[in-house]
Amino acid sequence: MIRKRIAFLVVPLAFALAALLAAGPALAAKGPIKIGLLTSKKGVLAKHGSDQMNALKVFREKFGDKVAGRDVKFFIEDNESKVALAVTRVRKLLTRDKVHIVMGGLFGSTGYAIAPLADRYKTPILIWSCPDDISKRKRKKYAVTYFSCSQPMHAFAHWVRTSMPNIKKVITIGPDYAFGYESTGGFQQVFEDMGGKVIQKMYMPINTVDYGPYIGKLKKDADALFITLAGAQALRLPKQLKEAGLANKYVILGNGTNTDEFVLDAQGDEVLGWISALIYSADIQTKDNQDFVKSFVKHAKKDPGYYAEGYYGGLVSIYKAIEEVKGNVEDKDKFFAALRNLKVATGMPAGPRASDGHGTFKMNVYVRMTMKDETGKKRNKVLAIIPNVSQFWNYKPDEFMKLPPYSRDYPPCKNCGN
Amino acid sequence: MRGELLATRGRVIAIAAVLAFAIVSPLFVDEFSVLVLNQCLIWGILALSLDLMLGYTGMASLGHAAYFGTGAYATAIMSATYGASFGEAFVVAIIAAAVVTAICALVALRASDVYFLMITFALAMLIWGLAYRWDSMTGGENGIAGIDRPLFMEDTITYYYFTLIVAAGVFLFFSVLVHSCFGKTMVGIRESESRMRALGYNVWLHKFIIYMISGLFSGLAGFLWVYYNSYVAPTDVELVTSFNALLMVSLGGPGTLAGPLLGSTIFVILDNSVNMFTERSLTVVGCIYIVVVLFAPEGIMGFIKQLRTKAQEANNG
Amino acid sequence: MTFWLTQIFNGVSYGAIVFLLAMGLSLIFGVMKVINVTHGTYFLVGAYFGLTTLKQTGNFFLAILIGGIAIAIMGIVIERVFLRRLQGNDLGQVLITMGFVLVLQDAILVIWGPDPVSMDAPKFLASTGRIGGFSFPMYRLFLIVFAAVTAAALWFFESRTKIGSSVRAAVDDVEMAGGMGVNVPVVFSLVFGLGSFLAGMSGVLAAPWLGIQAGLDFEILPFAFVAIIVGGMGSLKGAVVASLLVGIIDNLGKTFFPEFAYFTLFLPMAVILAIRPSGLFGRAM
Repeated sequence: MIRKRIAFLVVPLAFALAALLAAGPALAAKGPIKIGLLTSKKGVLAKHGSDQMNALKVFREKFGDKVAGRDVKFFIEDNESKVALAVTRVRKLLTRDKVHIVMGGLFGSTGYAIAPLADRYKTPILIWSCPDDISKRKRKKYAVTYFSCSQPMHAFAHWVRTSMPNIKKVITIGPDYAFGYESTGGFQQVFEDMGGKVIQKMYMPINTVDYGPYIGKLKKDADALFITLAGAQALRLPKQLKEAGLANKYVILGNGTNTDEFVLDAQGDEVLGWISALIYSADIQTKDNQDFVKSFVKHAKKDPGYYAEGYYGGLVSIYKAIEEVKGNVEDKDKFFAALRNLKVATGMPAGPRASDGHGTFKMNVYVRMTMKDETGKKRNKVLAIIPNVSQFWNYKPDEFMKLPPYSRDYPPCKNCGN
Repeated sequence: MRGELLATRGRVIAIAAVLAFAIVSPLFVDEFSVLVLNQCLIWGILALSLDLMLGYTGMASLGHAAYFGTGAYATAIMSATYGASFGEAFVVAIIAAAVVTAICALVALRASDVYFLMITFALAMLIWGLAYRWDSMTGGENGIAGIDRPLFMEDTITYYYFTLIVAAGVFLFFSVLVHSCFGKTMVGIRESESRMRALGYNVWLHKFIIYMISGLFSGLAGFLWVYYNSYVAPTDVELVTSFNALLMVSLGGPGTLAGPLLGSTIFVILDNSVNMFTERSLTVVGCIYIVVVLFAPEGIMGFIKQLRTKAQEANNG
Repeated sequence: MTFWLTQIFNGVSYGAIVFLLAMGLSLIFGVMKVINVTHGTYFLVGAYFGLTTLKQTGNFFLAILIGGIAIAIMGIVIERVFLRRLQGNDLGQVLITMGFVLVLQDAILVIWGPDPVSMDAPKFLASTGRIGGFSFPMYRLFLIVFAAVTAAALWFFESRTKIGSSVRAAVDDVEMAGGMGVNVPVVFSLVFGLGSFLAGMSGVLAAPWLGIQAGLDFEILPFAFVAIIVGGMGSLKGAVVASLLVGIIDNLGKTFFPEFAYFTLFLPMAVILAIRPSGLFGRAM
């Protein structure tokens, strides 16, 4: 009886141990190209992860597991929405699977946590989330970012000042971590440089349940709110704004993640009329995008958002870089240089992108308004396309990088008063 | 008498074998395996220190992530924010863990049984709240990244051996401790507090000291963890971490020294390998909780003990 | 003035949800001495059951009922099959409830998928009410009224019915209650079922306001734990007072010290723990 019980425990363990301790295969002559992917299948970011996995399906369907004459093998790791676990999982990709490149990272903070691993293991990482400083002041030798969190917001602030000159006073609301600071900071920087005023800034924990206290504090004399939402906030804050009767009191501007297609179907009519900017919208009318949307809908039964497009676009970029080095990914320096200096003109749902020479890319920024189409389905209708936006906007890179990084306290709120 | 001698010899052989495995195996496996073994050691230290309270003294703490986290955060803040050296960070981490443990112990020791569980749980929540919200100090949601080890233990295998030496030291210290008079008192307290009190022991003081030792070594585990992962975040301090530590002890066998190490090894290996086999890793880990509690309350060491008694009975009969 | 009114109103309405969740937790702890960490997950699973019901029938109030009943059944099964075997093993009981958290979280992913969903309250509750210069969301008012009615019903049950007095006796001392002829196993099932019912129901009630998504369980659970620690385990009065305090303190804390959002909540809890470990209204230990 006891023996049986022990066997019950020991046998699966032995298997696990064997699987784990088996020394990695000796370096085969030239096996497949190995691409490591980090995603979240559990926890608060599970829905972003499922969009990413569907994007992967679309990508493989279209491009297959072969590039530059070599087979490709994907290694997928799940960090369960925990940043600390992302470090462990990426380490596994680098030391066990010995992948040639890693892509992934939801949450700006994940980017900061995993970026040092690129240099440590001298393996390129395409950091999929948008940590600002990895392409600015804390550059790594082997890491590039897909874009920079503040990048679309610089362009957006410019657009707001030019197209909606009546909006002069703004309150910013954002999640209390890197992504929130960078999104808010980017907007504030350009908005105030162009004569606008941020009169109140609020950062709130990402797992806030009741937004009542923050909503109750909103200054009445603002023209607009600039909102950045992450994860579950996108569902809660809009609802609670509406029930407080404030939905029509302010113009609502914000980061495109507020109404990203990952959550858009679940949101109610309270987000209609919200104006936001991001590097993507499912509504982009190019053929590249329409094809992508069609294939994605087939798998996911819903529209792709930026989480989906970004994963797909990241993989397109990686394949392109592999082609440029003719499949010789073993030469990591050349491979990374190709990735870093990449220029992708076609095939990207979000439009062309080109290296900015600083570790991220120049790309289009889309200003969108959330509205219903004829069939009653919510969409992020593209109002304007701002092409070829740099992470430094119109500032000179050297001068820009002398400023402190966007943080909880920077840019300071000069016009907040009390 | 002879049986006891044999048992001691068996124990020595087992310890030597494990140690030999721990020393030799990293030379033959890939880097990832060394990383995993390193994790086993660090969580093993946490589990050992928890077992001192849970298994030996009968104080079930539901918040050991707090002391682990204090050590971890103190290390990270010293290293990343103030540029402190390995040694300086160590001193501060231990002092921080001592202070936090002392305060928590003073509050928690007013209660016993399930209320003790509840209070340790609540205190851990408080520490988590600090890690999560004391932005200027802990980086909040962002955590603290970029904690580098000193150059000489930069590479994975050196740090593994460093951790191994520390873990062996902790193991040695704990085995001396539990076999000392003090250790006998601990077990006495577990069996009957009132009897120990009647015998003239200062039960509160004993419990306080044990709590302190446990907290300090948890802090040490946190210190090692930060230099291992070079990153710390509120998720390291959350409820689940406390629960996992408890699971490791229960799985291996509370009230033994080998148990927590065995438990942490199994847990870490499963945690790192389950998702190679199935997407449903949550269910797998959940079921381990349920199965251990229902069918193996004394853990694996309990089974082994049972087996040995059976064998002895068979011999005698 | 309006500012304060709004803040207090918000705090009270959040306290209402916390109360419904904490009351179940408190009852279960008070009678059975189980620290039920699955409670937050009951809340979340209840919300999903409510959502499915609403989709099928379109009736919001039926959804609340079904959400509660489904979780009550689940709770009773878990109590009968698992927790009962572990009576007296405090640690084992906590650990096993953690096991169920993980299994249920995975079950949610399998059954309802990872996408966030929202649930609409009936039209008449989705509006904004107005009294003078003070405007308030009708739904929050509804939550307050609902929680108040529930508290009154629980009070009636506890103090005016025979089974209620058995429960009260069990809170005071299970063994004594058994000796006085209270059928303890039945009381245990009843209490666990009732506590789970409240959790499931509150999940559905919170859904139109908070949305439903993975992770919500552990976002809300700390508030309920703070409430029962402050109020005292097993005490109805304690749960009411402490939940209101939690709601209001959390609100004012976030308003005035946003950097210390959780700390303003946990610190009073720690102080109460240090001074009076049994909570404001709990029996002294």
